[in-house]
Amino acid sequence: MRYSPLYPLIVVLAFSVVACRNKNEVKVERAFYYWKTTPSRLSEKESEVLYNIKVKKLYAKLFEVAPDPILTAAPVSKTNLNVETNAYYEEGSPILTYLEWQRDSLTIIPTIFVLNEVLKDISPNELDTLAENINFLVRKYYIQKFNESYPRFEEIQIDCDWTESTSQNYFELLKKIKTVSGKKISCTLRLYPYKYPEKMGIPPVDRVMLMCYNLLSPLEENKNTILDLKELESYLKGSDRYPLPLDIALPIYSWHRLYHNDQYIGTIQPDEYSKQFFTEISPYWFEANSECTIDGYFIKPGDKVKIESTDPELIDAAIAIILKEVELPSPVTISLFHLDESILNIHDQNTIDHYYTSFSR
Amino acid sequence: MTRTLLIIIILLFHGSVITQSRSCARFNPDYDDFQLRLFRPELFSCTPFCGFEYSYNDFQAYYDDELFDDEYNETRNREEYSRNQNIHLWANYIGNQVDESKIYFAVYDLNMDSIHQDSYDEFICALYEQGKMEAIEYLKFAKRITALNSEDVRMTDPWEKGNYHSNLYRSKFIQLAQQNMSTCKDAEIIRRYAFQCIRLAHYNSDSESASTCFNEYFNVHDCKDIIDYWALYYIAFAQENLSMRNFLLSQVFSNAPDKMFISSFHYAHGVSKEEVFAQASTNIEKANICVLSAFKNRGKSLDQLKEIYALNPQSEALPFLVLREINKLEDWILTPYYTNAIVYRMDKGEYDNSIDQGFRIDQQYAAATLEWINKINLNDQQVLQCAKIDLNFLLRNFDRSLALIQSMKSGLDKENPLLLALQKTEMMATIFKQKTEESCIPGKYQPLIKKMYAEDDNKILFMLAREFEYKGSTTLAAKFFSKVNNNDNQDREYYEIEHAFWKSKKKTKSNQHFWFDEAFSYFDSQYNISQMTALINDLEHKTGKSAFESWLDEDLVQQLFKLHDLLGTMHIRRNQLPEALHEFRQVPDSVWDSDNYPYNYYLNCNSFYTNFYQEHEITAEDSVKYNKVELTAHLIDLLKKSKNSNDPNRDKYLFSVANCYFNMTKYGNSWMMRRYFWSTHDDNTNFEDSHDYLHCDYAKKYYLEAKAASRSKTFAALCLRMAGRCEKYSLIKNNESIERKRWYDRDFNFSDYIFQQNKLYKKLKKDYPDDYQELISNCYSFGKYYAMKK
Repeated sequence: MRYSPLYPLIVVLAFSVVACRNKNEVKVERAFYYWKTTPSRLSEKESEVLYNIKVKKLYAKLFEVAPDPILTAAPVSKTNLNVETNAYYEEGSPILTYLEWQRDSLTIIPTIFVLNEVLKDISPNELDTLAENINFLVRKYYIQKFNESYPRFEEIQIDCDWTESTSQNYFELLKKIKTVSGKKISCTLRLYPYKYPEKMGIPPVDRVMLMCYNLLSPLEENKNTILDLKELESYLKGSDRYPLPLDIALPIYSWHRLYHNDQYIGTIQPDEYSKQFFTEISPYWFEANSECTIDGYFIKPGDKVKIESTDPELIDAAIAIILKEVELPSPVTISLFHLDESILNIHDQNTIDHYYTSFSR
Repeated sequence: MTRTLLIIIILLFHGSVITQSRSCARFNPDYDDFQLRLFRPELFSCTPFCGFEYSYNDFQAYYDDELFDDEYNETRNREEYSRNQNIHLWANYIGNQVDESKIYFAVYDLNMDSIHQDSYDEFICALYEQGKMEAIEYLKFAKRITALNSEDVRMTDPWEKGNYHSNLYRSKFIQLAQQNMSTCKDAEIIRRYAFQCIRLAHYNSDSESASTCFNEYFNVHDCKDIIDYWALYYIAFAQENLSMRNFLLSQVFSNAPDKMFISSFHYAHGVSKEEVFAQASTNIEKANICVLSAFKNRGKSLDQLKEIYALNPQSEALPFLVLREINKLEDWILTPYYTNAIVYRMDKGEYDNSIDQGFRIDQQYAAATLEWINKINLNDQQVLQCAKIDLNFLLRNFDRSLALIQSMKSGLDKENPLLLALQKTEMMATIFKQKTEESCIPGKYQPLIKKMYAEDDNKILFMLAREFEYKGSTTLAAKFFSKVNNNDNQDREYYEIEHAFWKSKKKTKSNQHFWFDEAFSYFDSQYNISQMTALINDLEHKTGKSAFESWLDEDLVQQLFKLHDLLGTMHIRRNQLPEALHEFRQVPDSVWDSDNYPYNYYLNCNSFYTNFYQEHEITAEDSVKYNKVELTAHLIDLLKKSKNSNDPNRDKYLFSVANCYFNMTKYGNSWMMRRYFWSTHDDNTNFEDSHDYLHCDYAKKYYLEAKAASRSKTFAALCLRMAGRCEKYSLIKNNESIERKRWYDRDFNFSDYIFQQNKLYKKLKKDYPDDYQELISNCYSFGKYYAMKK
């Protein structure tokens, strides 16, 4: 693994800054992830919550980078999010207040998810091209979609489930993106590379975002695989202090996983009408009581749905573990995954506000 | 030495009884891996619809298209099917004077530069000879724009760096095509230019030009050949009216095989059948609408099939749709019955019979389908006959199924793969209808079974095993289980073989899964002592076996020592030590120390030693080690000695006995005496000794007996301390729900809580106040106290 000659110094300095902070003085920068592709704008409810709890950063996924047989790597799942500069709202409408505040105070941080498969057999030249392409599309989207309204962005975040075998290519990509963009680069960090930096390497970035979720295989039968506290603690406990400024990402989402003959089939999103076809049979589990079709899946009686979610009690407990086991820098960005109106019904704005303030106690 | 295991250890014997060991990797079979089928689509005449077989994978046909196009040919066939129609048109165009394969080469493979008057290509020569200059110019035109007319080109600018270049080119070619059309006299060539214009306009997102051109040269309701349907496909995307778009796509689906998947993919949801029907002008068009709708339906489609039959009994799709419906019923009836007979409810952590209700409903549906099938006639008689055979089989009308098989077999060529499928069904129907006490393999089917084994037909072998198991012939079932997924076929990769996967029918599981793909874990989980004993007796003592029976036995016979080990382990779980010793002694001594088996690694320790803290870590006492025979024999010996109340060392014997029982729990160094699988967090096995395995009941009992027998106060205190340790593990297991509290309450200390609950530690404090602090707080006090007794 090759690093800049200055890298050890950077690491030492970063380490010192972290080490000198007192936990009780941590300043929290409030953030959300925005991971949806389809909507062209934030809903009024989403804007309202951002405004009311003064979220400072929105990590918006602009696109994903997937393998492509012709181009090596190509963007997919591109965002439709766009600021409606010409939208008409009645004077006095609350949304005007929210939009004005967003323009002045909310920083949108372009976030790109890179599939690990992209990095498996990529040549140095292709990495150069990929970095340039990512930078090009990020700038293009930012100018097209946000620039007229939002402050210029200073950071790009890259999300990738990199492995030991792809770490070298991934780290090269990160360095190249930094070079061509001239921006600060942050990247997400799963708990495994956090726990085993000697094995997985330390990404050459300015900051890392520790993803405190999806710790277990979704096929785990009797556990909440979004966030299992025991697993979280086992990764955090006893780990050395990470040698880069560390931000924290927490999950507040939920999902419905469909099983037929106890085999996972896919993810569905039942609406209110569909709920009549299911009977709760135990925590997490619901069973179909009659035939129905949801999201293209033909569901038979006896089929089961596992609903996994994150309730406020669980998030509080996760925060407690993080505060106990991780020494946070100041300022630290706390980002919630992800911003969605349906989620905000479970985690209301007071609860979300409480999550952020828990870190600054 | 034993090891500290952080996550999961899965132990599987490597041998012929066990086919696959997947080490620690998380592997879970997909639902399709469990599916059982008798009549696969590939057994029948291949139609463009192959690839749209019933699957839980929405993108099965897409994968066939995109990933396996060269070798696994469904899509390749679909593309070829369409291309061949086009080639057929060209052949007619020149009066069928050139072989179609030559035309194919000229149209799809020949370089544009090779189209000239001096060409050696037969088709090009024929065109020149017949003076078809407009056709020659058209071919050059078509080849020049190939790169602009593909999905790939549409995707050439995903980074959005500007596709103006491509668009500009396309516009130029549209203009050129229009010029050529205006001067062209040949109506067929004009039509082809028009199609190219529509396609170019489509890729330029120019719906208006596409529509204008289509309306001038094509007619939605008058499509005759593949060019018309290709044009229909591209114009479908120009339709804002979703019912019209769906109508067009449904016509393309039934008539342009290369566009089937993409047509089905873009078929809009939420548009009623009536609205789409309103766009149709003939019954055939309406039938095509129902065809696409039926293909998109993974549920019950009988009503749609009836409607298609009523509208167009000659529908080319109908036989395949019938087959697809049969495959659904096979999945709904056979899969749960054989792979998941009594469903393990993951949600409840228990088994129940709720599947029975669904089974009955699906059988009713099978009966309704059979009733309809019996009334209709299909173009494909083989599909029709097989549907009747299969449905009768599913309804367990085995005699009727057998009669139909006999009648169908006689008309089939020996090389027809359907014949083999019928033979297998016949064999199963014959065996399945046997009464319990008659379970056997009739001689005429024995070669077939060996053939199935040789060809890795694992799912049929598995169904036979299961059927025997259900009939109570567990010994015969075991022999078939040993054959499932067990042919070490060196010529085929793992992924090339269809493996059988199944789930348990009892409450127990032997590994971290609730599914099985090999015999040993299944025996461990599902067979009881008497069934295992009967199996071993049969293998060892039954004489006069036929060649087939010997073949059936051979894998188990080669691995007999593993069965003895398993039976011994089952006895250990019941604390039947002499019986266990007897079985362990049947295992060759060399096995215990062999590097080929796990014992040498996981039982390489002193099973009669433990201290306050050691679980799986290496200790100084591990210079002595015990295999299963030695451990059991020594334990029996110690128990015998401990019965002598006059023996001054009785307390010491009991203490060692307790150590041994402790080590045979999850927390000890000899857990492999009772399990073939160990995990830090998965205690979810449910063998009959589970309580002791997790709560250390025997160990605690013997520590307390050792205490009672001891004349030394310090040793008695040590015994109580060790019993308290057992109590601790038991309390942890009993209080798993309370452990959660520590996540929410920062001040809550679970260890302290458990310690406070420990009555034996309280007793230690009360009865041995001088030793209490030392035994509880001093990490090194065990050695001191233990040495005093020694």
